[in-house]
Amino acid sequence: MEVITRNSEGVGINGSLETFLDIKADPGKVFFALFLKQLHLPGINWAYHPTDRDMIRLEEPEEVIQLDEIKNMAIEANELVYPAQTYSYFLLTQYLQIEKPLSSLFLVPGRKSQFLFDLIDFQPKTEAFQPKRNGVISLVKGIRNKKIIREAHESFFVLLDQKFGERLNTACLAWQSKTGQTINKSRWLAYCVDKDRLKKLEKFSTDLIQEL
Amino acid sequence: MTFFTLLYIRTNRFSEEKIAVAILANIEGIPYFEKDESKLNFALKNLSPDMRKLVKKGIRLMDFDVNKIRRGETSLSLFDPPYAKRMLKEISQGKRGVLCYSELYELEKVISFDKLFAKYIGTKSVSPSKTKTNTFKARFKDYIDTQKFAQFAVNYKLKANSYPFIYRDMTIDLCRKSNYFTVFHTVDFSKSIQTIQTHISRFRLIVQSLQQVSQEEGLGTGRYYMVYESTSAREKMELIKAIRAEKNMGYKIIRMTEMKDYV
Repeated sequence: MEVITRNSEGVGINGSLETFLDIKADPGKVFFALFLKQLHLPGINWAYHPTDRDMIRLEEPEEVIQLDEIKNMAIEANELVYPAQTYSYFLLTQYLQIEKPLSSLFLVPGRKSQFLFDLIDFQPKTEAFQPKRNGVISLVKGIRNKKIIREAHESFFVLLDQKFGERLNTACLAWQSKTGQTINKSRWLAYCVDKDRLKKLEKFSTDLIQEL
Repeated sequence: MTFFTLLYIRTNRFSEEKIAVAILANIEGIPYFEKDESKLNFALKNLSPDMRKLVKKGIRLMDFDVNKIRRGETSLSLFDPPYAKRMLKEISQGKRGVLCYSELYELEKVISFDKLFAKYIGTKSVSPSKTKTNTFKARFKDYIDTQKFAQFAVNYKLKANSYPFIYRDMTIDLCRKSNYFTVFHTVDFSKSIQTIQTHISRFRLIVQSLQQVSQEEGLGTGRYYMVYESTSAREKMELIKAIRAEKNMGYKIIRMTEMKDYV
């Protein structure tokens, strides 16, 4: 693919004036994209790099706001098209023990705004699972209709089922063939579909919903 | 210690065109946020209407938030999260959106925010409405306008003839008389040192007088609070520290936002 320009951050424009960003291929990012898809959360489009096996290619969004602890405050749940996605994302970042989830949230403006979720490079962790509140919860608090939070909670625990484990397995195989890099498949699968962690998170979420 | 970050609007990510529209700084623990209206409006013109609305709102809220801390309307300590140095360092790494921060700059010296702003952003554009400053008394009045302070008398009068130690009528900002007096009285530390000193002396007289009355009437000693809000002047900060360190004064010095914890 012909690359016309590439700026200092590595964002490129191709001959069709599409924008992309090439980043290092990490299994965490690839599996995170799969989690987003499974939970019906809109993630950044990506593909394995056409020529470089160490890289993946992201379709860079054109005009977005990248959230952080400060800019996060400018967003209210009632200004979002799908406020429930906030809660699904909160649960996902808890489940995968992601420390700083806000900077991976992009806001796409509109009459009502929408989220676009960046790919996060997570790693299977060995330390004890301890769900806790993070910056995303301040967005969740603004959701007036508590029913949609409960629905997001229920669908989260339904969607991460055995079938999802099978999809992860296929993704592991694709990863190995596309990048030529081997990964500890059983470790990744055990971490991504961990019934104990899911159970603990479900209990935490149930208690949290009572308080919200 | 000073640290600051510049806030940019990136009008075109691919040509890397960006406009510095505001500055967020910590000068000796005091947060500052200032934007240049004309640069901001120029930058916003280059964005889509929806994005314009969103960015404008974000900047307005940031401005409001930082200045709320400065006015003492929130109990958030200065440069606690979300304005902590660590956090500002982290956010400066996120550069994929329209609104982005520069790296975090640090200085050992204390410098004037106005000079810093002029150096990096430009001359301050003062809108006519901005020149109308809200006084501390007015902010205090807004703050106490809640159910929490409903049992308090606002502008409680102390008649010189009825209270010891005072020789002309005095007014207390907020007072409640039950089994003891609970008093909140503002001292505006944005005034001159001389004026502040006069107000502190008056407040001490009020405390002494009410303590005497309480003793005569068989009431408890009372709770007396001198209320202040943050100031950027170093000598005044020192004065606040000195008052705080004094022992056995019979009163406490507290921030306006702490009042609700003492009711």
